[in-house]
Amino acid sequence: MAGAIIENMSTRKLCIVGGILLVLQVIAFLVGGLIAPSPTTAVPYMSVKCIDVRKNHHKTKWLMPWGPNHCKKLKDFDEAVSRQIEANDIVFAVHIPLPSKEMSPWFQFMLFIMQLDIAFKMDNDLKENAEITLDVSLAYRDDMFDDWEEIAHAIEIRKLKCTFGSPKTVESEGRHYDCDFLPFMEIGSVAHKYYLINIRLPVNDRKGINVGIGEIKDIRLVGIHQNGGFTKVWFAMKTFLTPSILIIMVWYWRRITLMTRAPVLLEKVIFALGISMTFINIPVEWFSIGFDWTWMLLFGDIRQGIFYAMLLSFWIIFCGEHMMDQNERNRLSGYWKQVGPIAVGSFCLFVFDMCERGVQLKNPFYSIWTTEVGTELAMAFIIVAGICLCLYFLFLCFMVFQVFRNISGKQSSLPAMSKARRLHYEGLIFRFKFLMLITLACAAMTVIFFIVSQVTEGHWKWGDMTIQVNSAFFTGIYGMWNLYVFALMFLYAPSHKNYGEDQSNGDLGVNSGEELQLTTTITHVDGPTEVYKLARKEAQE
Amino acid sequence: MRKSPPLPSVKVPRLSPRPENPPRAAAATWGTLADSPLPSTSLEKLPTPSLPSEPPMPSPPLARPGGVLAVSPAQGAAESGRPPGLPPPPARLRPRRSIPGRAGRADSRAERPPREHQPGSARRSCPRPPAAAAALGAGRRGRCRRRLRAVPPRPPSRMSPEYFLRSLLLIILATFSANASNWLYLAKLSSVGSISEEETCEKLKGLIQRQVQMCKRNLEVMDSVRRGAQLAIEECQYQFRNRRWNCSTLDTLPVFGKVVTQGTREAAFVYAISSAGVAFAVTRACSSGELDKCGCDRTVQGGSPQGFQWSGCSDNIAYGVAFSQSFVDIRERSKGASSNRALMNLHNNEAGRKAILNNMRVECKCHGVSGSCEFKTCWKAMPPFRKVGNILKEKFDGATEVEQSEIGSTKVLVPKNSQFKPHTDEDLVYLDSSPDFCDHDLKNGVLGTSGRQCNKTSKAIDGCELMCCGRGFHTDEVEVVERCSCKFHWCCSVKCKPCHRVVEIHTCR
Repeated sequence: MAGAIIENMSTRKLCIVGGILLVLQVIAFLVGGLIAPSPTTAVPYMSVKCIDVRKNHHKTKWLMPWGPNHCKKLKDFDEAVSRQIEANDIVFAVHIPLPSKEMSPWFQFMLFIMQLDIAFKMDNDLKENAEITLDVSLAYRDDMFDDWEEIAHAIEIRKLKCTFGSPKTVESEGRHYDCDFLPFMEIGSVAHKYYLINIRLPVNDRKGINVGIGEIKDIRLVGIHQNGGFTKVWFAMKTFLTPSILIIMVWYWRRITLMTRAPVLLEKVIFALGISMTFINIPVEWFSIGFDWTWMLLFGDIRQGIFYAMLLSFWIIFCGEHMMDQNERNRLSGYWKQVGPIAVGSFCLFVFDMCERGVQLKNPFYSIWTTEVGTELAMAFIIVAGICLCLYFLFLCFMVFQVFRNISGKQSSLPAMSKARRLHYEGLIFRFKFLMLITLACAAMTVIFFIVSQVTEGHWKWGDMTIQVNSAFFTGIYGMWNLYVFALMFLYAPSHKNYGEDQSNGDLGVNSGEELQLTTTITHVDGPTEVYKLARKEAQE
Repeated sequence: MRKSPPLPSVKVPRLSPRPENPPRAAAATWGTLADSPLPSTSLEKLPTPSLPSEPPMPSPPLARPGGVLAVSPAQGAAESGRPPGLPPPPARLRPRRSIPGRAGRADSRAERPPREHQPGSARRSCPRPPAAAAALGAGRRGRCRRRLRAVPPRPPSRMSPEYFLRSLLLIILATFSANASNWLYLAKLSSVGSISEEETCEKLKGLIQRQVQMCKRNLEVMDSVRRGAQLAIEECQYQFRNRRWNCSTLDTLPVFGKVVTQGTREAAFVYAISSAGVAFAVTRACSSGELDKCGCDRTVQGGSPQGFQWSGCSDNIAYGVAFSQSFVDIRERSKGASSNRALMNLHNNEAGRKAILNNMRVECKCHGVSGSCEFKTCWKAMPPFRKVGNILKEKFDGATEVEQSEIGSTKVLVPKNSQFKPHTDEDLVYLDSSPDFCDHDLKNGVLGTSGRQCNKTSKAIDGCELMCCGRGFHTDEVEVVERCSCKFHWCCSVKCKPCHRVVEIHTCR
């Protein structure tokens, strides 16, 4: 019969541990808020209208917007009209990054959205449900004087969703439509220094391609990438956290294996949570600095998904194992109702992610949201996942409610117990509630910081100091869950000290004897905690 | 008809052939053409309005052959935003006109080039820095001489030494007291091509010495400045297409005529839109990669040496606005911002930039796990320039008349009418009320509304009654070749059938 460390630690020691964790937590926030820059940067690019002069020869395939070999530019399309240049001869060129800058592998990913400036004209109105066909190609080079190497080429169709604010009269000719931005491109690694995008809008009257899309004035792109500074701080944090969680995990498992009994479900789940946390922590991203691994983004999503699924399962099992009712659980199959939705939801999101980012490994211009079927499919996956999540939370809330009801029932019978036992149980219940509270606080913190980072404009200024709220959110929350898992493994590890004490305690000894007698059919007599044991005993009665 | 220019050709009967064009160029009739789908090449074919031979402002309302009643000057005043019933503005302006041979007060010299009546006005219309004048050579001089000829009454003793000296003095004065918006002349220099050499800066007309220095230091930006000036003029002409003052430009300096050299409401708009135009064009050039110095070099957040790679760059608009500040405001700043005109210009320049800055759209994109909003990145996008123009036009309509007042030791502009609430940074302010812009007055750079197209049915300022200032209008039946059942592409190519249509065009007398 083993107790957990949390039960046998004095309040003073518990306070010290809590204080240390709090300090680490504050450090995690400060690292993000003060050292790291904002997590991502958006760079606006205005495409340059190039004239594709090659008619028959394919010598210069790539058109550069600026620099030594830049293309023949058009200032605006009125010039094209006067020079009798056709739509098919115009190429929109964007060089990434802007002059005198270089891209870097520290940017981790690049994603681009596209904005079209379409001017209203009475006789060239935008058709209802217009679709634009883009002939896009992406190239890279690592030296200003190298040739461009093609990465991808695709013909993509995007739906235009535009509204026009003013009445459609002659008066408002020349005003721009208000168009939703279109997803354009996403790549999971930035392994090269320079990238070049060439966009063509081929016109074919016969096939109805790019007809009725209004008068396009400009194509703007916005490139979003992770900031190099944030990546470095993030990597540093991961590199520091990995060994800490790994060490506590080894220590925890050693403690469990030292015991004579086999580990119970809750202990296994805590260990699994530790493994999934380590899986997230291991800084394999370091490789992305040296290698062009575009799948890193997808891999990161999967790791994150595994951790979330594990954390949600842990909460359910934690509650279930403290439920003071007659049911015998201690097996994962006993929780199929609650864990089922997690599995289904995670699977849905996995499939969705594979459809989006998985396909993007092959074609960076692909987006599931651009087609009718794709949108419906994506929505279906997300809705199913959402329903699963709701279902899960209903179960969880119900279980938490049950646990608290049972505890309060137990508390009412406390005065009848002997003083030593009563104090002991009161302490146990307090510590159990304390842990529940911590979990709730962590979840609430996550939600609050998430909302704050969504609402505020990214950074706060206090005098000369700039606090990057978004970065603080990421590092702080990441650090918080690491500390949570760390504390869980530390406090729920079986206590050796308690082992001996419990044996000598006659009162409890009788009880356990009783228990043993009563529970011959139960495989695992020993719960990980006193509360657990208490619950079990209650159940027998 | 394939790949035809998208503008149709129009056959317009010549109404009143004029022997000679006044110095106003094609753009002078811009407003007439703003609504009609005329090709720019047909501008020359348009009836050049003859100057009204009758007294410019007919005091009794006359019934014109067009059948439209004339309006009183008071109604004309309503056009410039003042309530009808106030005395017409020219009364205020007249005393300020300088007498030939007198250069005017010291501060008024700064506001506008000194004016002389008939002979000087033509010569003054092409002032330039002496160096530039020398460099430009005979071609330009020839143009000027032609313009001289265009002004009807010729000076009797043109070559007299006294006159010569006075003209020389005037040229020098015009050089030093050049209008602060003269740099807008850049918009006219399409012939220069790209501004890529330092010598070109010297040759640019309309720049003051410090602007020339800035030009030399920021050569790559100058094309954007020119583009900004063009944008501003285009937008001004669009916004004022239906008004008596239609933002028409002259081929001479000052670009908008004298209207802008006085502290009028129109001047306020021109200053605001031009400083906004420069900020807009420079910002745009930044994001298309034409400029090297944008964003990163100025205000990088965090201040780490790695700059772009560590924390990205600041918004390009910051650079655009900063450049506009240093280039456009340079003249008022060099004067020490003491005169009320300088204060007004600075305020309106800033109001123009604020029209962009305060109307930036914030756009966001979510890109977390599975497209969730775990990661959200926001950026600011400039409003379309048309929107900037609309905002400034609204500010023009609600502009505040101000006067100088001293608070402590600093001079500030306060509303003339103390009951009005004080203007904000975004509002336009002006010092002098505007003329009614009815009559052709070359001395003041007012082209008049004669020859302007008007809307017979409208009761607003574009209606024939108000537009023609009660002089009445011609009605002509014109056969217009229009495009119909067109097939458009997103750019360049239009397939149309020509349709002939007879339309009535009303032009002011």
